[in-house]
Amino acid sequence: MWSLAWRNIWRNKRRTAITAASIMFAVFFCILMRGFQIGTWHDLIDSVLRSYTGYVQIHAKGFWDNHTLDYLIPENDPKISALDSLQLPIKRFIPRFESFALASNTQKIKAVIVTGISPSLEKNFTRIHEKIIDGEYLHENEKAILVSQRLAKFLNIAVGDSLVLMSQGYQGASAASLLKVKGIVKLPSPEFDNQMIFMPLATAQDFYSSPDLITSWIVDLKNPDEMKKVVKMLSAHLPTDRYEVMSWHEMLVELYQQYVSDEGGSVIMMIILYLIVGFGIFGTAMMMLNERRYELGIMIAIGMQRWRVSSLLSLELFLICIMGLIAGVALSVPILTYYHYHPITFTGQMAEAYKAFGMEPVMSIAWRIDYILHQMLNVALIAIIVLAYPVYSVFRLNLSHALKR
Amino acid sequence: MSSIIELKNLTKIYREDGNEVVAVDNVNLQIQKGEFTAIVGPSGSGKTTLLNLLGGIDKPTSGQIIVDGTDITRLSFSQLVDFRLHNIGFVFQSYNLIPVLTAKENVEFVMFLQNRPQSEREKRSTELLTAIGLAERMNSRPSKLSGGQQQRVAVARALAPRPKFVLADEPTANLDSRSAENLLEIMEMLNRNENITFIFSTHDPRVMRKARRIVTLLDGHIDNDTVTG
Repeated sequence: MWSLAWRNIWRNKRRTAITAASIMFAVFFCILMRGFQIGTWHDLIDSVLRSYTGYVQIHAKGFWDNHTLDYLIPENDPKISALDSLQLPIKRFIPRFESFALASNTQKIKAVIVTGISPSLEKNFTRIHEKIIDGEYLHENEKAILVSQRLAKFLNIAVGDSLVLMSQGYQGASAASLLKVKGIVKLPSPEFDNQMIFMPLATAQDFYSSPDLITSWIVDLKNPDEMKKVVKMLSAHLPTDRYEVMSWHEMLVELYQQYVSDEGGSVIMMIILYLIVGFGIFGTAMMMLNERRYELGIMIAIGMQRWRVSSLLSLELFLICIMGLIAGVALSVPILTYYHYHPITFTGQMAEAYKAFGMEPVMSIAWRIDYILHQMLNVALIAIIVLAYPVYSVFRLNLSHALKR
Repeated sequence: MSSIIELKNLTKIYREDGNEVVAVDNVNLQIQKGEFTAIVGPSGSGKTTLLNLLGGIDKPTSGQIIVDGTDITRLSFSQLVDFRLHNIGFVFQSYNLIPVLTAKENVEFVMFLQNRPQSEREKRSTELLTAIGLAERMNSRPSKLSGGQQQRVAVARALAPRPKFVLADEPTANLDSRSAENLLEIMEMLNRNENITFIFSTHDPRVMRKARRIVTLLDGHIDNDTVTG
């Protein structure tokens, strides 16, 4: 049967080649489109999230909506420490102290975001130390700060200068301090680069008169794909009246909506491509049946059961689909591989647009087997749906009519 | 002689666009084993319909078709396919070989459907193609064979599963006189030497001359039934 099917598909070489080519191009474009989309979003999201918020955060309930010091949590809460023993897919919990202040160099003043960090833990997460363009990284407990590049430029300060910070501390205490600029960091997001000041956690706690208190735990995940699972597990183990566990979907709503809408657009595009493929295969199936009605009638007349005849036709279409599928994957994999290791870097206005959204102007491609397999399964599914037509037609074939020429 | 086919009050009426066409009208006929029978008659007399009914390709409106004791009108479509596979050989007018298979593979194909072992298929197909004088062309595809050669391969294919009888619908209709003569000689030889029952519809006087029984149809009923040899 395989041999007969194989020979049959080459009876009309041009038609087989056109059908297989249409499948090949659809698979090729779908894989490439999906690869670029997943890769770009993965990189953008990862770079945005790893530069600051992380994929998941734990706060005091209500903190995210208010962002005030009325919602602090203890740095040494046994409930959080107990999470370490649960074998969750988490690398570590990173404490943060986030608030606002006015920064002044005596000539200019600007509202800034002050972030108290654990210099050692952040090294492995945000890698702020790698973003230092001038000066040095922070040590635990020292009274020094890192200032983002655009903010430093605005305030006209450099490494070694001092900056006055003023704010309101915990429970209404006044907060004011003169801190030395130890380094300048360049953050990928222009929004953050305009207003960020980092200081050691203990310095922030001291500045805001809130010893042993923090605003949030950044949850460093082992695998970002397990984010939803981790949120669910953490929510189940923490008292919901005191804590809120939030994923970046809830914290960065606009970014998430952009992601979802882009995902939807790509699904529509793929559906259009696959519809074209589906109708292409369907057309081939119809032509096969119409051209060979007499021959199929002969086969049934001499003793071939209908199921065998339909299997033969299905096998022929299946072989054409497989050829298109393999060719599509074979064509796309080298391109995927190349762009995975050599991402496209945008320049000019496109680059500016990316930066405006806090994203790096880079378009990379994901090299993952799952979405390649998805495209293959989609084509297989379309083929199975289309195969229903020849099967149905053979079972409806009127033998005496088919044998009339 | 034993009766291999018995038609009892066989009627086939086609209904098209509200009109009824009686293609076969109350036919009663017995075919004995080893007969070489021609069914003749003018166009539209019901020859092909009768052959289709005999071969289980079409279902009668009423009546019975008893083949070797089995009333095939009672069989389901699937049972009929199996019945044809094991009991009836077919030779159609033309273009009835599978174009992508060689002559030998075409002959083997029916035996493959019968799940016969490869060695048996090889042996039988070689024997048959040699018997019909196509041993040299057994690896040729139908497109490389002449019309006459193709019909001879079709005869070999019809005989390959050792059927109870062979139905041939105007087998010489598209052949030149030499090829037609050659095909008839082969069919006659197989009938005589191997006692194979042949029933064929024809317009061709050459075929009629070779037939030992001629059943003449007119407007769907038997007008004449003559044993000539």
